[in-house]
Amino acid sequence: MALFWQVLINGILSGGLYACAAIGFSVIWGVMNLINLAHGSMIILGAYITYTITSATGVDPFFTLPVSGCALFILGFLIQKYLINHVIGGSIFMTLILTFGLDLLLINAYLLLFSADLCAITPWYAGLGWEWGTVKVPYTRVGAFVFAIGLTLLLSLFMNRTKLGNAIRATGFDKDAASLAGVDVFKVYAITFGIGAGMAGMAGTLMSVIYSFSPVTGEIFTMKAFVIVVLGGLGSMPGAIVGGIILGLAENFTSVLLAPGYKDAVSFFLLVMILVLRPRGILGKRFYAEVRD
Amino acid sequence: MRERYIFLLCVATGISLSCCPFFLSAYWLRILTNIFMFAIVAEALNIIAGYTGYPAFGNVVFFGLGAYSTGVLMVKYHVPFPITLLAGIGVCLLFTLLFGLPVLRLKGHYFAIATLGLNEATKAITDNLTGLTGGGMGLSIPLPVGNVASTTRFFYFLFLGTMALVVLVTYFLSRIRFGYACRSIRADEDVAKSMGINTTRIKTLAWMISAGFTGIAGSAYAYWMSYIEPAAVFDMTISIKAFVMFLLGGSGTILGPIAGAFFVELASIFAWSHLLNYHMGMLGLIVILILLFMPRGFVPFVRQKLSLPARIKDVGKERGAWPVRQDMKTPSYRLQQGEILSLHRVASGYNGLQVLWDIDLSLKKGEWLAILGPNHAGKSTLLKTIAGLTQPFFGQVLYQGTPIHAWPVHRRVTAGISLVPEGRRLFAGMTVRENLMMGAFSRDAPAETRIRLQSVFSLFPVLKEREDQIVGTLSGGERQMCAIGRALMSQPSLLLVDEMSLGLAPVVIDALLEALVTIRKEEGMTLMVVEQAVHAALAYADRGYILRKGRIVRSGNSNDLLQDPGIQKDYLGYGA
Repeated sequence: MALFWQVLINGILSGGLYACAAIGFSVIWGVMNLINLAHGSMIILGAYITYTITSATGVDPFFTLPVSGCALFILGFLIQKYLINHVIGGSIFMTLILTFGLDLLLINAYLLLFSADLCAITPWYAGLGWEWGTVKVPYTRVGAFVFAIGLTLLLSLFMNRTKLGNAIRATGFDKDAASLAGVDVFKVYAITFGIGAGMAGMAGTLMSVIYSFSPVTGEIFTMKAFVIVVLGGLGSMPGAIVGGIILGLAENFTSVLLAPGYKDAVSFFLLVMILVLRPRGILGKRFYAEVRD
Repeated sequence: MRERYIFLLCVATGISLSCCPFFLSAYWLRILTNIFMFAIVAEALNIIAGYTGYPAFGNVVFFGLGAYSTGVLMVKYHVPFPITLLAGIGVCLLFTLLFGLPVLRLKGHYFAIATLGLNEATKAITDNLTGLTGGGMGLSIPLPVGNVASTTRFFYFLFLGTMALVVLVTYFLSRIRFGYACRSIRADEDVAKSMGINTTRIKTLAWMISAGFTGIAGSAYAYWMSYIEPAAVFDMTISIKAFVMFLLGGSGTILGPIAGAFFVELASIFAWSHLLNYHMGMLGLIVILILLFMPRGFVPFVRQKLSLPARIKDVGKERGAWPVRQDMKTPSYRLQQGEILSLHRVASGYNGLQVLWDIDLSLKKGEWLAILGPNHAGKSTLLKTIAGLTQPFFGQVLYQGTPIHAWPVHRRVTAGISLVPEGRRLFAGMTVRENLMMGAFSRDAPAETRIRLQSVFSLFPVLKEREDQIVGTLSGGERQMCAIGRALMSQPSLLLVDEMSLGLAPVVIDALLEALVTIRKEEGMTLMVVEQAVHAALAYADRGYILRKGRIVRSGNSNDLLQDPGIQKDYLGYGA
């Protein structure tokens, strides 16, 4: 029974982090009908930023959140403005391949800068946590969970309550109508990509406190973001949290019940099953760019 | 005639490639073999992604399945290679049959992701079935019998032959009914279905053919390399390379993917094969550059470089329009007293398809102008050209004396032009209030916007009642009110209204027209209203223009137009 509680808690805690890792991907996809295959590598970039800062200054990793967020926002804004805006609106191959090209560039850059070795960040409280009998909950995981859920809710507030957030949503619903309302669509696209990348960067910072990472671990996060978005429904913030926690639970229970090696395979099977059975996700309603199809 | 030349060229290329092993070095034979392998994968992808329009992003899964069929059968069961090749094809076909039915129900991004997921799942399973597949350690496959030269030659011809076969199959398929069915699915699956095409069967078949050839490539690759591991044969980079190749060569053509494979692989050898550390990044870079500069493939790129931007000129010539002049930017027209908008010799349309010819039009401040005409006369295009949703090919659009035809839409909104688009185009998931507030996006004065919102609510009181409802729950008339209200929120000086009465009851139409009258009276708004209901439109307007087949055929005062017996005839299209 203790094992059950441990797996349940682990599942929920990693699920919160997954939600934060997926939300940027979800917003970019929802608003621009664009799948960012470099999303995972952007998460890893956030992790490397935190790694560099903490190993240079010894500052607490959670304090680097604004740095990774801002850096990735700027990078994302520039990528959308100078690259993706030129091919968006064409066939979906274009954006898929373009973002994959970006992914390759980023991974190669990490390999040159940080080598292929696994990196890990261990703050002084890394091994500590709350304990109930055999159930153990580390502080780092709880911290990452709280920040992840907090950031996701903040983004949700931003999208629903601010003028710019509304403009982003409106552009997602109907870009021509948004431009008729005076919105500069391409600028909104650049900001949206910046926000998506910024969220990825912050998710990377949170991830780096818990998991070890290397230049190529990003790929798996892109796939997980897919699964979560499909589970929770495109562009939906509560959906991302629900989807993230479902995936976290599914993964943790699979690795205990079956074998740790099947952890990733099961999430892909989950993906295919959901796509086939309930293509609009669990909370499913049609959302954003999807309405146009 | 042209086809015969291409055929001869193919035969000549085939013969010269067949002769290559007798005078090229082993190094170059390996490179060519590698190119053939990618050409097979790219051409196979072309069948499902190019012809049928299904972006099978994870098609590399068949490469891996083929490779592991050969690997496992040869290592564990000592089956000879040719049989494992057939078994590999069998496994791929079975896999497609099993997953094709559910996965092919998905479209676009969802299909792309699902295939990606299939690949990742298969890779993870292969990684975990250590007993059978060797897991992450990989499999070492026995080398073919014979000396190095004969082995090299064997694989060279194996891949060359398969490449020739896949090209022939693609050619054959594109000529028979099956090929037309594939292309009609790509163009519009629902239409294809309604024409009696069993789209599920066609899609599955197309994917099976694609899978089979990819499987052969994987199978032969395993034997050739004599070592395989999951990370190498289920590598997404193979899929991406194949996509780049077939996009570069021009998707949906027979020889495009082959040409693309030669181009990409040769370029990679000459450009960066010695930069091992940057190999991945260089591939990424070349992918990005290709997409930015040759988004429609190599052939259109060359064509474009050789001839000038011929599209607009061609359209003009075909339809007998005037020659293109280069005076778009210099206003040659003096602003008349009180004029707010004027169009001079405007030609416009979409993506090279011309809809409007030689439009001359002027509008005084405070005037109400009706634009009339039958369906497809170009009325909506005219409004879109003024609002900026489409750019004119030729001519000038002047707003308060300033040429605005090169301005983006949002700048025109800020300048005071607002369009109520055809079909309302409300933001479906947002509330009435949010929709209206979006209309004021260009105005940076919250206090003013609040006052404006109240005046829209007093114009359409029902919107106040429905303030917090999602617009999807409104009736047609209420939606139209919301659309007009949204356009008014930007405080325009010129309001363009497109087909607002479409699908609405006469009593609702009257209410909407009365609202426009109120706005005009209170704010001195200038109105340009596109309508199909002639009498209703002319009853309120000062002047009218009548469009037919993209040209202005008549204009005049509303009364004159109303009393003209020819109008009804003209308008309904009995005459001429």
